[in-house]
Amino acid sequence: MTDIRQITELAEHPERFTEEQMTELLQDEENLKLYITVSETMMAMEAQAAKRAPKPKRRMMWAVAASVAAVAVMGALWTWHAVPEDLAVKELQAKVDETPNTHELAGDSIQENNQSTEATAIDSRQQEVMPQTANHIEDIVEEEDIDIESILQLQRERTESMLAMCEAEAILAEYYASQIASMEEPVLPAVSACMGDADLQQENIMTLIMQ
Amino acid sequence: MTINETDIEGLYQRLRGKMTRLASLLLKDDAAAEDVVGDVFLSILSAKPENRNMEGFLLTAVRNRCISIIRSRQRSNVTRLDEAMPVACEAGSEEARLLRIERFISERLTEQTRRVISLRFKEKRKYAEIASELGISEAAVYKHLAQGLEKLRKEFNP
Repeated sequence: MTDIRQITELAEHPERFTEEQMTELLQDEENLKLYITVSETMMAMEAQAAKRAPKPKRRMMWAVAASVAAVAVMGALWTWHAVPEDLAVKELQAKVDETPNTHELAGDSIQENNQSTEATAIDSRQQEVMPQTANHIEDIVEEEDIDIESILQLQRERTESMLAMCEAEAILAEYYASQIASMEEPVLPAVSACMGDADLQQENIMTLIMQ
Repeated sequence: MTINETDIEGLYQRLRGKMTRLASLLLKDDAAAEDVVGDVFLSILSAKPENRNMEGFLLTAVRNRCISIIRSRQRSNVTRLDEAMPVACEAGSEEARLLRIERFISERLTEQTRRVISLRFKEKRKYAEIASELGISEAAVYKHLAQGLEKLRKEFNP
């Protein structure tokens, strides 16, 4: 005679049974099948409950990502605010405009993955975080009596370096383009493949040219 | 409190026999049962889980591994391709089986039986609590549970 109460109790709290009690219950083939059924039903129900539970880790990951993006945006805004007109700001701004920013990249990625809920969460989180970050920076400047002039000077120097770097990269890009144009056709798909990975792009193209 | 290696050694000495017995009853294979118990202890040596009820945790881990092996054997009998099946595929099959059980409960059982099973196994309620929640007697709760489990057994463990 199958005792469902005992079988469910054994599946849920095996520690309450001695080895002998367990053996007595499970050596019966019908009880064993029921025990497996109860165990699998419990697993299915627990899996269902876990699927419906909120996912704090994932939410936290998005919040951290949004905060980092917001801080990066604030840093960029701070830089542009501090750069004087005579450092060809417009030229540099045009270069930056051509480059997709973190927010756009995140947006593209989200669209690709059909994660509209997360996109909304990022937007609202950014709206929350950005004003807080700006206020926080202002507070630090006031409280710590930071020398704004020296920061501006550092920003000017940094911007000059960035401009010089952009010019050098433009020259290098022209050089690569001319080298690629002179390559034989079978090499081109390999170069295209390299272009897909931004981090490896420069290194791989250099390797191909050297070959 | 995190479990340390001395605790694990003590648990092994104390529970090895009971765990092996459970695995042996499920698998009907003493050598495979020893392997399962060894695997469970190896996994807790690396993961060092925090659990106040380690005996319950270890016995449940043994049971789950054994059920996984039983399903794997059944698939092997059907396809003869099981040994070549990648681990991800195995995990996917187990997940698919749990989904089928979940679907069977929601589509093939009566409303009341479904609620009793959900309250008992998902929310871990006691018989008296389920009876009070649904406004029925404890005997009726038992009857619904027995009927539901019998249908599940016939479908999934004939």
